[in-house]
Amino acid sequence: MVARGLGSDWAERHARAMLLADGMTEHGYEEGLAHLSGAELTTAEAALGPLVRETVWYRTASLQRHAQRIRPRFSAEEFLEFVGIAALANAVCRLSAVADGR
Amino acid sequence: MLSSAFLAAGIGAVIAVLGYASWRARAEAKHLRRRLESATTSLEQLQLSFARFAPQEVVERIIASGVSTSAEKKTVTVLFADIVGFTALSEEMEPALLVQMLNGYFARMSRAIAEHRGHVSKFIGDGILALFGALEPNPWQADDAVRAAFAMREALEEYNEELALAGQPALRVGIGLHRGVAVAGVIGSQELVEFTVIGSTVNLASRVEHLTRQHAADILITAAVREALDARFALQELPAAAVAGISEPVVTYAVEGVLPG
Repeated sequence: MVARGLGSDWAERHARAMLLADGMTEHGYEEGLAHLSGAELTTAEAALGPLVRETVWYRTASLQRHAQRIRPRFSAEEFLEFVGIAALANAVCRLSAVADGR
Repeated sequence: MLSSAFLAAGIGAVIAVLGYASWRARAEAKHLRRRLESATTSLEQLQLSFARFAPQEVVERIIASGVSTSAEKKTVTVLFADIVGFTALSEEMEPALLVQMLNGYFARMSRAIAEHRGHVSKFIGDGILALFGALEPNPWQADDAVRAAFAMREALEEYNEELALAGQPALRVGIGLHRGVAVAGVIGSQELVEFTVIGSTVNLASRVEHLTRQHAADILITAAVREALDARFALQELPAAAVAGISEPVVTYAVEGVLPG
């Protein structure tokens, strides 16, 4: 989602390969990314989708609104893990702009 | 003895001068700090005020590199909304009350649009032109725009309840959406500029909004929006209809809701 949101082809190619190797189907991948929903996404993944999007453009008010909306569905540990993954995804995708030749 | 006294007086004078210079420098630094803080506050206030006239991203771009009339082609989803029967309403109501009602309507609709990552490009009378994907790339713009239309529908229902309590007539709105390539940028004259989009995509969205009356539907989308839309949205295909400025009849879809799952 971060790679698609930032338009990073390099990062999206790698993420796609890893997800397909992990058992996700081509259809599930396309559906999940095209609409941030789909049968192959778990309830937690579907809930986190809109918040992941917000990390791409980093608008504080919107980020907080989305985070507050879904925070009660997760334990503190789960939520912290998600924040770490989202931060890492943003860092990798932004750095991959170099690989994309931009 | 005398030279020692002179020396002591000299040292005292130097210390006094240095002390005075140091005090002056501190006072000057404090003064400059206050002026800097005041200028920063003024700039922030100006930026906030300016943001009411143009999207924040555009304001930041203009502050960074000045007003540039450069434009670019982008795939955008355009949303047009218009109050049904507004002309008759405006003739019946007191101007002050009408403006108050309209401002309440605009505030609620703008919030619904912004919460779904759109931005209001302009108010045209009682109409709203909103854009999705015009300021930054948004691969989910079609879903966002339709969800914004749903949010507008909900917000209007709530507003109508408030209007009913105040003894005012209910509002009905028609919303048309189309997706395609448009030219986006800061457009205008030396005296007046605005960030907006131009092109046939915008025109067709406006025509589709007009079709809401003909089809008696509040939210209509074109096939271009449908193609990019989440399949969970419940749509009803409507008969192709002729619209001004387009040679072929336009097929539209009424958006009825979103299916669970």
